[in-house]
Amino acid sequence: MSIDQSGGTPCTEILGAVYAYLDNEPVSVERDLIRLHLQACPPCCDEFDIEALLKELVAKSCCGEQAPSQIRQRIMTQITQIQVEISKQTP
Amino acid sequence: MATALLKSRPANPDSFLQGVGSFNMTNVVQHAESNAELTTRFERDAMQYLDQLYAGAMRMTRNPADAEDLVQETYAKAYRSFRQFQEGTNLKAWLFRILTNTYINIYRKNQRDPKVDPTEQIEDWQMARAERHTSGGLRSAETEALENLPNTVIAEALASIPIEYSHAVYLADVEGFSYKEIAEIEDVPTGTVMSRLHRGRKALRELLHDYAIENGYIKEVN
Repeated sequence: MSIDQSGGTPCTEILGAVYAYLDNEPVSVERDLIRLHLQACPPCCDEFDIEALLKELVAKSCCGEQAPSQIRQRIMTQITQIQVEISKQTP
Repeated sequence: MATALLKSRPANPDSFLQGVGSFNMTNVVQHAESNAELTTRFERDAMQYLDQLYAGAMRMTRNPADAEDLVQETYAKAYRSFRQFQEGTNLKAWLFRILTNTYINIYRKNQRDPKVDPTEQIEDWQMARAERHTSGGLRSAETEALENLPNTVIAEALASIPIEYSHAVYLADVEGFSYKEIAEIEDVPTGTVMSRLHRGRKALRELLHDYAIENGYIKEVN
């Protein structure tokens, strides 16, 4: 699979760009070239699919966690105390 | 942990704000905001990230009591320096940076340092990946297996990899921060962020692959 299948970009380069590509970061290979390559190269396409899926799964597994309701009050109480402290220092 | 992450932290827990310069902290107060106004602005702007910070704290501390303390301490520190925080800069990233620093200063001081290879480079995972790639195989089966794994397995796997890596993965994939933002939050170069993401994701994928085979989600074919 190291033989280029779509216009000059070797698989190693395409695979090296997978995370930057999926993370919407600047990519060393042009995005259009990557897309072209993926259409022609099922193994690379599978790799991108798996990595994209992993990102999704991580996001899904961690979302929806809510802070316990009493925290907010605790924080605001503490902040009021700090505000009083600061007011004393800088009248 | 002779990692860059910890080395880059100030030794004094209270001196963490020294490193907040990249968030455009300024001593110039544009108008004389009263303390009450400041508190109102803080409540309006900063408190909206409570759930996200708590979820991040849970990932790091792995228990609710410590997570609560960590979030409370984070907000106390943030409030103390909120007057110098410039509106229009990235508040969420700033809060996550304080959370990360506070965690390291409070909870990790006395813990064992993780082993991080100082020569870690992006190239090695690329090589490994290329090798796996040429060996061909079970990619589609892997996708199918991953899709069927319960959320708890993925959360457990993420929790079991070194925190430098899992934190970067968490910030990127759950909170959607850019590499540059993660670099600011963790106070490391962008290249280190990329390296941590690569390593974290590779480790995660391997753990899940092993789990899938062991639990019959995927059949190993030789």
